[in-house]
Amino acid sequence: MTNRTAFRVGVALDGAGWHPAAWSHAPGADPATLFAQEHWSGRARELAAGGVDFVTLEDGLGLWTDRFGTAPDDTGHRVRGRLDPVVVAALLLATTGIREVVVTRNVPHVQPFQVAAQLASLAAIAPGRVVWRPQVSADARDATVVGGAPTPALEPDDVYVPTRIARRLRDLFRDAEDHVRTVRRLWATFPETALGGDDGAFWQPGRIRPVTYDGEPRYPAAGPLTVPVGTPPPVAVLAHHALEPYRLAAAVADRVFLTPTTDGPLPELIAAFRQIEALTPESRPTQVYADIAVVLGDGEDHAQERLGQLDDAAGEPWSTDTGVFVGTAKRLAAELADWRDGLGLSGVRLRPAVLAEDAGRVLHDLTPLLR
Amino acid sequence: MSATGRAGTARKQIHLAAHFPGVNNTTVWSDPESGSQIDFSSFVHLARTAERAKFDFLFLAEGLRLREHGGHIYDLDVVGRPDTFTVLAALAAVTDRIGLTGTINSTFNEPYEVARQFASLDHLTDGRAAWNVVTSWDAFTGENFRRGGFLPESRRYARAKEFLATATELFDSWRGDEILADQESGRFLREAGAGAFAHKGEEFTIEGRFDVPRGPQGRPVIFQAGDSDEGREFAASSADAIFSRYGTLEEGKAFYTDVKRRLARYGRAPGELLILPSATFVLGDTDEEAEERARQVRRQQVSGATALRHLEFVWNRDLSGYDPEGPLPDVDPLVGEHTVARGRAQVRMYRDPLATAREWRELAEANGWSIRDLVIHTGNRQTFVGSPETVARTLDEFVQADAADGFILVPHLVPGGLDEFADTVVPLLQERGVFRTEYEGTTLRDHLGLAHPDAHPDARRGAGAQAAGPGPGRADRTGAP
Repeated sequence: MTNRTAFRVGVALDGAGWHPAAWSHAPGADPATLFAQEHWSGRARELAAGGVDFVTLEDGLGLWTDRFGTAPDDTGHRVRGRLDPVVVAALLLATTGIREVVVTRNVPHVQPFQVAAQLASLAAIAPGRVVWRPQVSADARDATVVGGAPTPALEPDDVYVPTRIARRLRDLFRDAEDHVRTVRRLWATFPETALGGDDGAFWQPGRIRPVTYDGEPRYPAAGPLTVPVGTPPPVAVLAHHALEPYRLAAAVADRVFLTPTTDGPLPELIAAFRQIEALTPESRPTQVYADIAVVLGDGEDHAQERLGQLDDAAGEPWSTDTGVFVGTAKRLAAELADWRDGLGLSGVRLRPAVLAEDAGRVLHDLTPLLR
Repeated sequence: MSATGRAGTARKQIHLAAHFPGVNNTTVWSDPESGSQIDFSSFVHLARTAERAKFDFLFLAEGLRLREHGGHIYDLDVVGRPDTFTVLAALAAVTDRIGLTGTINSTFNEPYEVARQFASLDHLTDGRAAWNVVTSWDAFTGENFRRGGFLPESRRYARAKEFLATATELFDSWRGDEILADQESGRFLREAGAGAFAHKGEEFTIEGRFDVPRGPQGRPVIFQAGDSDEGREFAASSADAIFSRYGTLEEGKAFYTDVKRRLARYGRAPGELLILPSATFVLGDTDEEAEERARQVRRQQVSGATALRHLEFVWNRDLSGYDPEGPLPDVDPLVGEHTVARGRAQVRMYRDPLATAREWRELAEANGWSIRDLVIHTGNRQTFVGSPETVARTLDEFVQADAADGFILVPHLVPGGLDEFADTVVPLLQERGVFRTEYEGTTLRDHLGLAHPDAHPDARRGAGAQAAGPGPGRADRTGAP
């Protein structure tokens, strides 16, 4: 029996929403303010007040692209530009009551020491409210903007098939595991409990230590960390349906976001993930969340009509890297409740097609039904 | 402003900043009045005090590796400070006007990620971000990073210079008018290629499109702290302000003259680079009381154990067997590679340890000083000690005499160490007409009197095509139906 109140609902914040035409279909919203403090803290405050448990922030080094950087980008019709997720997270944690912020951080091009220090610092500002989502770079152009070692490039055909993406990026997934382990080791070097003590010292000798390694890590860092760590942030991995991402999640994640689609329905994904988890040495117990894009409406027809309008504006049907739910909040709630009760799903991350509209419907129509 | 000097000319205005106390012995963490060194609430307290006092900005230092001494983590000072960007972004939310300056290293980072975080901060603070570029390069610090200690000391400014130039290209890759966001026509970007950049150089070869549109300040205010000839030249060519170390009138004037003179070489006016020395202070109701408090603070800052460690910075050997209240060691310093203290820039200041030891022995003998007395007296005495009237007058004199354009004040207590200064000295400076009573602008550039980079068309890289007038984008905007 699953605890109803423990089921957690999150909203993925990104630009004006996840549909490419979201920004031009947000009535009353000024898309030019997407980079201002009020846009971010205002949204997060509303969501927190409405009972949403967490928000997620996206990374992405180069300028936003479509289809993992394989699509030509010369239209000027899409939202471009994105603020750094660590900087936004700090703002949200300090100004809003949102219970948790999931911070995405690119793996190949950001150093473990920096990730460890920045995430631990967010956790120091807001204990227990920070989750780290390491993300493998799927866009080869990330390496050219940062100047790091080249990473494999996806072909345009790859992006519709998760297994092909994963195979092409296999080495990056292996590296990611090493990266996460180094960050976790750094977090263990400077426990908050090392500070203070009866004898009046600032910290207790021997309680702050460098990292010790077994073997040769691909991402070394000597440590200790320069910031004390209370409870280390949990690690969440968004895993598309393929062996490599599932293995990474099984090996290092406290939470996994799975991407159900028509071809890969959630029960199948969970079974596959649990199987891989059972075969993964030293795997951690991983909570499963679903990750779905949503276009909500007053009725089924209204939702379909909204999607149609958005697609017309974008000039093509919406294809994204997870399933898109189109319908009423009531039907979505029923589906989620079934997953929660039948599959032990721990929560869901919803990607609103249009932030202003769909996140509002999540707040007013969906969350009350799940309480 | 009504403030005029005797000659009828406007008096030079003072800039003030608050430095969150660092991880060194200036910070007296053991004082009963001292609060948490790490909690965000301490940063909030200092930032709000500084903002209440209308300071120009808050300043954060950076440490990329915990210091070691004799093979162990240094245990007499504060350790553990949250990351700069996270603290500054969180402070953006609880402050309104004060500038937020963060120290970020140019050796162990990459321009793209640093530019992206500063540009994001500038957006979320509405134009209050500043970057203090530092160049620590040592292999010890490098062990926390993937490339390790890859950079020879001689290359650190070359890298810093190219780092800053590259970051500037990234900041300038958006002009500021690209976002049209016209819902009617469905056009988000005026031009599809916004943010394009390509840099090819010794240190960095990168290209692509920058992720963050132009921030309110165009680019963050740039600080530099190096004191070497190369560091000064770097500041004269590329910085908006220098975080300097010269706190006495004569040294301050010499440094000020030297650096400002270098500006002409780069076609810059004296007002385009501010000199802001770091300064400490102790206040009292009277000058005598302040002097007494200053003596007590110095003794808190230099315990017997701290005195021995500081002596070891010069002696480069274990002196733990000596009595800090006794005479200086009769053994000589070990000359050669420094092995005792690691991650500490100040050991490089003692270029001839034997000569320093000789000089210190003579000083100690002449004054009857113990080891601890010597370290107390030769270490950094507080810059300004006195009653609020005395301190306000002295600060003003320094600035009017061109020993500084203002000061970055380092309190010795966290988080309340600035409160008394804000309550007593600031009003006196305001009465003298040399410090603002209200913020006049909203951005840090406004507070510091620095022009927006777009105010000089030719200050922009690649601006040749636009130098004749307003950019084409801007002309479009005014001409739009």
